[in-house]
Amino acid sequence: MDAVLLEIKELGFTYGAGTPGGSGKKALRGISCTARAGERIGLIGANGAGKSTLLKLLVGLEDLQEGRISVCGLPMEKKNLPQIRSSLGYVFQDSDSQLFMARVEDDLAFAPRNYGFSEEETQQRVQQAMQAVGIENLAGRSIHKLSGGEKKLAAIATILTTDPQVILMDEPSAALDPKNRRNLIRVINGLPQLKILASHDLDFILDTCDRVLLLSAGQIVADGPAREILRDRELLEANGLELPLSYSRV
Amino acid sequence: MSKFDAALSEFRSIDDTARISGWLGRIHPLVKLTVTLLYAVAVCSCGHYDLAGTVRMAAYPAVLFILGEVPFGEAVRRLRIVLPLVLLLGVLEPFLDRTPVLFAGITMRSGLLSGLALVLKGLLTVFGAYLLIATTTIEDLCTVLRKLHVPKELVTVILLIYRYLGILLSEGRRVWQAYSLRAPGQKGVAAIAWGPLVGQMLLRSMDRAQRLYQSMQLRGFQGEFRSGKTWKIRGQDLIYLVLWSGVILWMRFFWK
Repeated sequence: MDAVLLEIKELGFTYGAGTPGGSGKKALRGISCTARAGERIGLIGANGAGKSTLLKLLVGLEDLQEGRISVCGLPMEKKNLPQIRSSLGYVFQDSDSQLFMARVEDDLAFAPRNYGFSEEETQQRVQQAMQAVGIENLAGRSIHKLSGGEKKLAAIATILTTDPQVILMDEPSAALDPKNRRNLIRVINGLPQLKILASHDLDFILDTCDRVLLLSAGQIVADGPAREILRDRELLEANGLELPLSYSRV
Repeated sequence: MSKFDAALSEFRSIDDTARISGWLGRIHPLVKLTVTLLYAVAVCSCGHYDLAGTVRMAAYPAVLFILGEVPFGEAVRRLRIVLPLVLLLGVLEPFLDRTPVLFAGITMRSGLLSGLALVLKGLLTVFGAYLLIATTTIEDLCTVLRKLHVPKELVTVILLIYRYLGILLSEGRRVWQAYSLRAPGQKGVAAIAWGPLVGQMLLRSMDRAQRLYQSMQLRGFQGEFRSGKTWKIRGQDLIYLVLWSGVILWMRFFWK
């Protein structure tokens, strides 16, 4: 059996907890699950269900309040953050918020340089990452001249340069046209790592994931094979979702 | 094209120009920085009334604009906000210093002479700095600053401010587009909308800047940019340094 890479126990999170102006809104409660190497997990739920919050907690962008998280055997603690982050890749929903260097190859080289790889190895990793998503032709291009689809692929390539064991993506298919969306599905399916994709694009999840976690009001209400959960009209509708188009046509 | 679009495109084009600028772009950034600083000091050290001497110092930017194939018109266009401020430098001089002096056979107020010299010094220094920026990327400049032991906090702040400017402009563009679509035919922004618009622009740009910073943190950023470039001083860099240093010193002290 493949190794457990992610372990979440009784996770809870409240926005603004402990701050005078905080909303006190409970975004997550009692989340427990594990994920193994190579799994392809879809994190689905209506807007505000807690998908993005969960992803942010997994990469340490939000502080842990309740429960425990361990990534690749390391408990989520401040001292472990650099190591955890080097084994996790997080793709933001908005690629413009992820890419910040002037050119694609500089952006890709950012992480390996920070992790102290030699320039030769950095360049090698940059090349491999570009090849993995098929953007070798964009190496010297200015980020601001890329299309939305190209930016998304570049954003994925940026995280591949550290060879992460876990890839987290927040709404990866958002704002992509059908051709770029298809290409993204091909790229994602070609990545061997454990992947957790947060989305409410259920057709996209159906094409890329074999396990689904359904979140509703900050709780996991279903965890199981994607083809079973995404076919369950009653369950989906009860949690603010609809059947994927490919099932609703039948 | 809106003013925000134009400003954003101009801002980005500075970076693009710096990356493609020919032989001048390949000169070691440290050498270019040294020559630029030497030039600025030489220009500023010209005498208070030494208009002729200051005019002679124009040879450096003139030659570099031509040989470096840096478009002068483009420079004037990009510096159009700064140049009027430079012109203001000497505007009071003629009123403060009224002693008559003879210059090129014409009797004039010495204040006019010093005012012109002051304005010219400002212009030449700005053009000198522009030549550096137009042919050197911000990353290369910051790498050199670190080599000169400028504190990493300061260098990082320079880089982040530079990146933040782009974000501010792009958020400004979005806010402006949203506003103009709902205020058709209106010239400029209504006085009542200025506060919310500027507030929105700042809040949104700060949110985006925060997400970018998170993206940097997730990729191992720990307070110092690493450009990865290893600039080595080559023969041509040394020739450039020695040649221009010599020429600048000669223009300043020996060209009469």
